[in-house]
Amino acid sequence: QSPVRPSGPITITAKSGEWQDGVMIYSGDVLMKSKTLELRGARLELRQPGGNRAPYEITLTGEPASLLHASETPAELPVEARASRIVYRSANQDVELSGSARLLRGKDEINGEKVRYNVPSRRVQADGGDAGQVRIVIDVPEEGAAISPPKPDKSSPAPQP
Amino acid sequence: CGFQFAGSRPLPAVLDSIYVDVEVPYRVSEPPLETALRARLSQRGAEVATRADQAETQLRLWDLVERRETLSLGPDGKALEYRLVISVRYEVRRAGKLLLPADTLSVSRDYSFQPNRILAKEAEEAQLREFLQGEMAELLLLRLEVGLRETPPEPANVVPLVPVPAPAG
Amino acid sequence: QNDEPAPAMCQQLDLGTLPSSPLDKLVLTADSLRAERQGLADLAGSVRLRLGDKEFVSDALQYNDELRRIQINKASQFRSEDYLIRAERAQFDLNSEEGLFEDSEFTLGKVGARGSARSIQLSRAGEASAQEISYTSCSPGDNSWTITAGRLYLNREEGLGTARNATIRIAGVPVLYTPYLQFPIDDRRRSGLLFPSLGSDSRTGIDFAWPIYLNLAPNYDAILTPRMMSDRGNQVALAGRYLLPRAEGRSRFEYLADDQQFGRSRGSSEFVHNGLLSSRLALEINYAEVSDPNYFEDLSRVVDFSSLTHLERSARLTYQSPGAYTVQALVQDFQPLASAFTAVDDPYRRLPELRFDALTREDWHDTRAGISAQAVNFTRPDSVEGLRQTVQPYVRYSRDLGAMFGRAQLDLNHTRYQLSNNSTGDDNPERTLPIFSADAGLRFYKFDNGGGLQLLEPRLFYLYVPYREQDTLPVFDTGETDYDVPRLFARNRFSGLDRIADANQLTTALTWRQLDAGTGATRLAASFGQIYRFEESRVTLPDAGSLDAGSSDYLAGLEMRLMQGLSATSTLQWSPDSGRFSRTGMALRYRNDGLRGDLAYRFRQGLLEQTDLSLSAPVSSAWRLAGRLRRSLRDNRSLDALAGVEYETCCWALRGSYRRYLVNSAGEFNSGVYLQLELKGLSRFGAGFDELLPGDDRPLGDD
Repeated sequence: QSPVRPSGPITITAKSGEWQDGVMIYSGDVLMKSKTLELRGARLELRQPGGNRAPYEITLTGEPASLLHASETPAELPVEARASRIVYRSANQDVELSGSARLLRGKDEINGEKVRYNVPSRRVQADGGDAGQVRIVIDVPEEGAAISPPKPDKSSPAPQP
Repeated sequence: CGFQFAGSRPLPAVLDSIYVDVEVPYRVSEPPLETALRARLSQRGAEVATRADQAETQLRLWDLVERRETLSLGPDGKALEYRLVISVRYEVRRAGKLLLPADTLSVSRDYSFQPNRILAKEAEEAQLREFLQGEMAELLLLRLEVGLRETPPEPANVVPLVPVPAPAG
Repeated sequence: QNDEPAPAMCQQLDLGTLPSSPLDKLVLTADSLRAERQGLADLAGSVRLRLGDKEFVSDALQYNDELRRIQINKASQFRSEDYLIRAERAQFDLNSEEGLFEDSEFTLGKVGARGSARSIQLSRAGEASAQEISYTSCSPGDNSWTITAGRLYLNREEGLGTARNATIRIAGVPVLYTPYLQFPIDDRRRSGLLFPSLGSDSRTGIDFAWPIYLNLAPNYDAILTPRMMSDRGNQVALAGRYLLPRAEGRSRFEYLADDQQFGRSRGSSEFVHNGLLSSRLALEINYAEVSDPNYFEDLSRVVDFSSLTHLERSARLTYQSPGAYTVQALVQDFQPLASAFTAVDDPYRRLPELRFDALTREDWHDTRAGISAQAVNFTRPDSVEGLRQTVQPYVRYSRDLGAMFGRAQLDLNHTRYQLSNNSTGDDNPERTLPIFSADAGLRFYKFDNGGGLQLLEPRLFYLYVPYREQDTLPVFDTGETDYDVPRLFARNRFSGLDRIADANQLTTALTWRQLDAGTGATRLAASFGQIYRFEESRVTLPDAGSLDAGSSDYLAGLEMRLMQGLSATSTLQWSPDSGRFSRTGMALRYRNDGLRGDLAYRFRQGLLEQTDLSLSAPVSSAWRLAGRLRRSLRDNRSLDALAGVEYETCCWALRGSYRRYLVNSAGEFNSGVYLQLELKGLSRFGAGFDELLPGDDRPLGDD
């Protein structure tokens, strides 16, 4: 998996689109699709200063704007996210969600003021922002977990330093 | 002096239909306390049920405990007088709700002891046990009556008690 | 220092209760999250983890998604329903919900204990296994006593902590090493080490005992008590209790290898059992035996034992039929203890006694019929022995109209003996006589303006029993009962069946009660009574004469609450013939939050005149004084004197007491000083001062 992989062709559909001093603005049920990524929202701004082949930046806003990153291998879980503002930069395929951002993967969930999600590596960074904190909810199957009785083994495993 | 015949003193309505249960684990026969309680309740017109579900009110008694304390010692260091103390815990429930909080009632009486009359004193202790448990039944019923009384006393025909000269001694 | 009594538990670090949160959702909050490497997320900045009743708080924490494990390499604090653990490093496994803590300080909230451990494994259900621990119930900073141990298991379900290779340190000084030690970690009545007691008295010299509690199973446990006595030697005592679905019982064995003063080994055993053989058949066994009559006088430190004159050995089977009859079989024997008696005074053995009692349940026109029959084989060496058979059918009429009640009962008692070794006359004497009694009473009541209930109950009791000559009958189990309120309404002034007193007498009695409005507790209870004999009562016993015609002694009983916490009782028996009191009893009782006082004067003509003062008072929040003094005015000397002082903190208590009591028939006293140390949290058995002071019975019901 090369560090930077071009995201391939993307298609954008919306009710209306217009060009305004170098920025393409779509509004009304905007949907941006790429091979594995889907962005939806009320208004999308596309900036591609270096022309058609150059990297571009998308700024999506909505009530909320949402992202869906399908899983590519069976081991991976699809990632879904919502925020009031999503910025996607094709250069490093980084997604920045801000404004009560919420990211869901399977039953686990991450909430925070600012969440950064790197599409290829599926890595997440989140910050609570000045007011709140990041909140992560992990599903713990109640009965399913194999409850092993405490084996007071002689050598207690030294935790990683 | 204001006293009236007890006949006109109604039993609190709550006690009209009652089930009495004295828990004496590992014993088969009824303790005198239970017999006396049932007798007094039915004499006062209550309907004493034979099974818990037949009565709305349950009077439960448990921890019926007896203790014999050495009181006086003789010149040879042996006991000359004992005190028999019997105590029981009780609570009253109606439809599962506590009518009276659980409480303890204990009675006691002293009796002299002669080492050369062990069997006689044992028989006297048995008579004393029966007498004390009968007294317990009476005291318990009085407590329930006062504790469960709903209607305030009819003030109309109660004349203040003329002070009876304090008893001698 | 405030005057609040020392709290039962020390105040440990308490963070209050945790708001509950769902059991199937682990919630993490932090200032920031970095999920850099594959499956690893680093949380930083006041991180908090919540799962069900568990909570972790730390500055940084790492979550491994593949292993589903939380790793905390910074100082963290863990909290759950029972535990509070502060650790240098910790781990939490999401699947098994098991925690691992390194270099930790822990607090057991429920039982107010704390300690430290090199490592602790904590299971989901709260079972803990800790290595290299120290443990105490003293508050933080106070190490008056600690237990250090190689390993400690905390079993929450059993409520027990079990330490291995444990050393008990008092004020830092190691006092006791034990490979195995158990103690309670919740408030159930179970304990590990009871508290040691050290004493020195005139009967045993230096006397040191340290009971060990063995929790063998949930329903049976035991206490092993090694006891070293400088003047006598080493004794070991084992006391066990068992609780079965259909029976309960306890037993106790003591063995003193060889008593230097007594010259040979001595021991005692006791066994008490109550059980159901079927839902209608119950077995009761009471057995107690000592190796020699002076056993308790020499070895027990409590006057309740040294004052015993006999030990009962009996087994009783009771069959209660669903009908209305009861059959009882009893075998009974007594072991006499040292006293100035000759064999002739020893009690007879009942080998066996059979009883049959029946009474109709329903009554026919308020009348019920019943019968009680008894056959007893009395034996005693070199005395008259024999079988006594008694049949007593009776008819009882009883009617209660609330305002008045009436009862009458007619019995016919037929008794027959088959005697052997009988030096006086007939070997088969018998006696047949009727017993008639009539009982009537009125009940008056009044609610006084305070809402309290007042009751007045006059009562008459007439007894008629014709005279039968009974001097030739043996005396197996008969004696004259105390002249007291029960005897006013008794149908025979003798207990037992060898003598039925002739009687033609009328009892008049009056009871007056005042009950509190709220609680129904007795504010005042006065009773008066007297028997008037129309004829002389001629049946006698060797030690009980006949009673002349005319009025008997007057009886008065009074219980009165003088004020909050202070009540007085008195019993008076005045004899018109001698114009003097034949019995008086006065007692004052004071109970007021921690302060307990009893003062009693007891006089029985020709038997005893004694005063009994006992006091237990808190002096400050830590100090408490207690004392008891029983004096005989007839012999003008004290029979039992006890003075005690107790210093109590929230985690330990030290009791010192001086005791001097009359111990044997030679009039010798045992005097000694005893020290008792209680390490709270190691033992829940409260025997301390209470054991030395009179029971807290409350003749007035409650105050």
